[in-house]
Amino acid sequence: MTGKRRDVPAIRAAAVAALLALTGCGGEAKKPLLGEGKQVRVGVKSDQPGTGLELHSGEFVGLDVTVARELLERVNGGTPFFDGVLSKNRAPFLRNETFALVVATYSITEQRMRPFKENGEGEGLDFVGPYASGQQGVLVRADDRDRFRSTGDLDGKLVCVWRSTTSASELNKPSYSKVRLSEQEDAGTCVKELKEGRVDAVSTDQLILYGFMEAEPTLAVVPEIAFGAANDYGVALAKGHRKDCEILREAMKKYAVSNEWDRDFQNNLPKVPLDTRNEARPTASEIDALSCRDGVGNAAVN
Amino acid sequence: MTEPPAANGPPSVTSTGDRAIVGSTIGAGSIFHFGNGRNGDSLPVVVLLPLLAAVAAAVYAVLSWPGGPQHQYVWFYLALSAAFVLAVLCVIGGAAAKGPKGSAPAVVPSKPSTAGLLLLSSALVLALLGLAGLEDVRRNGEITVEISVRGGQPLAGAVAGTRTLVVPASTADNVRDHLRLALTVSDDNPTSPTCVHKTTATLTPTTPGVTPTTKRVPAQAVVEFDLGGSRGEVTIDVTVRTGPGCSMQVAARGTLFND
Repeated sequence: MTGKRRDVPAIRAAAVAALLALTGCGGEAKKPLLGEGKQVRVGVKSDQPGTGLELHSGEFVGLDVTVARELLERVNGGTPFFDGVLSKNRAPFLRNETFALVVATYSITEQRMRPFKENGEGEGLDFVGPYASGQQGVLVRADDRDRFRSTGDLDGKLVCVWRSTTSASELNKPSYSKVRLSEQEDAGTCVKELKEGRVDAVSTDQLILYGFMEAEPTLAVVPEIAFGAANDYGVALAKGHRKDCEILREAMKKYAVSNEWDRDFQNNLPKVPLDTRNEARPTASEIDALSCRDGVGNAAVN
Repeated sequence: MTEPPAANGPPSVTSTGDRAIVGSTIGAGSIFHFGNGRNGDSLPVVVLLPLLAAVAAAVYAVLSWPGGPQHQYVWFYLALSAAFVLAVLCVIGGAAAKGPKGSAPAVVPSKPSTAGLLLLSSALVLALLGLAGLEDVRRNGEITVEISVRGGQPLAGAVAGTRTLVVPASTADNVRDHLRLALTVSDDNPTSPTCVHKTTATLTPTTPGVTPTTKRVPAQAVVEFDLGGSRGEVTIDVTVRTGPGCSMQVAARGTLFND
């Protein structure tokens, strides 16, 4: 009897180890992030009107904030507790568990989805999404709106971008060699420079620019100027929480086709034209291809 | 020194001198084992034969390895491993039958047991089977081929353009009737927004005789083509469609095989 009893923990440990190995989660499984009654710390932007803005201390509004609330409510995953996060801190703060989720106009890329590697080949994040997509665009002074009709009109103009953004790398390509760039630290500085006439335009994701346009009536987005690959925004979480991720993915697929998605988009980004909003809306197959993976999935081919 | 056989009775052998043959009576069909009379470290050649055969088979395989996916070599590995095991058992059995090291007999009249013969022949047969399997893979097995992409990269824009995949001409040894093509269309820059999930490719063989069908596939796909006996260079056009502003890289790996 004693011998049998002594064997039980060993057998149990071996069974758990075998199960973990079979599920490919060996050494990866972490505590669940979501659950009824849990406080879920969510990192959001604090300086982007329309997507993530801190109105007062601890009070955040914007599409990212609404999406986080909506998803947690749909999965009964707990109460969100929002805090501001800088772009450069998004991945490290997820990996060190400062945040359970980051919903901060966070573009889904192959490199971010790969398992974490110190050399930068992978950032070790899972994404749920996209919940919205959009190309790069430009914001100009409303009075100058008629001077901009196509990307060619940016030639010779001084365009403000902030560092490590898709716009900054896109406008550095040879095809935009005639565009003069002013690189700043953040969005706020660029918008201030535009209002004060020190630059001709500001460039970043078009959806973010529509948020600035709503907040600053003297500024206008040029809808005709859209360039670069579309950024797909996703809800990010550190790898090791696949079950939470898959629960959120299923909720996201239902949310994306619901009227609530239209309502939330309209409430937060009312200046976005209808065709741009339609293009921003994700499909279920896109969500499947980009969610809860270590690499990007395939397009659906009939 | 050997004396002539006696007129009656079985023939006998005697010897004298420093390294005399020990033993006085040798029956018909006996096997002579010649040793130096000081130790017991020499083994009968016939016992070593399977081991030599297995080693020879392994060396031949290394020198003439046909390449291609590993799964097709499972039988070769199994047969050769078993041949090695049996050959080593033969050697151990032979050494044991010979007696302890330093034991007296230098000429051992031994007749291999049935089990020993079975081991010996099994080891030889397995080594030969391994070689036969290797030859079969060489003639009919899967062969990995490098596929080059003709045309500049990356491919940019919603209709990113057409490039040509080039499968080199087959040599006499590696003519096969089918091609399995593994296509990968990836983001030119993995740190930029991904376009893989919006990307499709259309594959159209342009070499006469090769399956004349056009196949539309996602960014990562495996497609098989009937080469129709083509031995020369095979070309397949790949047209990539992706999202606006996307910039993609095309790569492909190929495996030739017989159906």
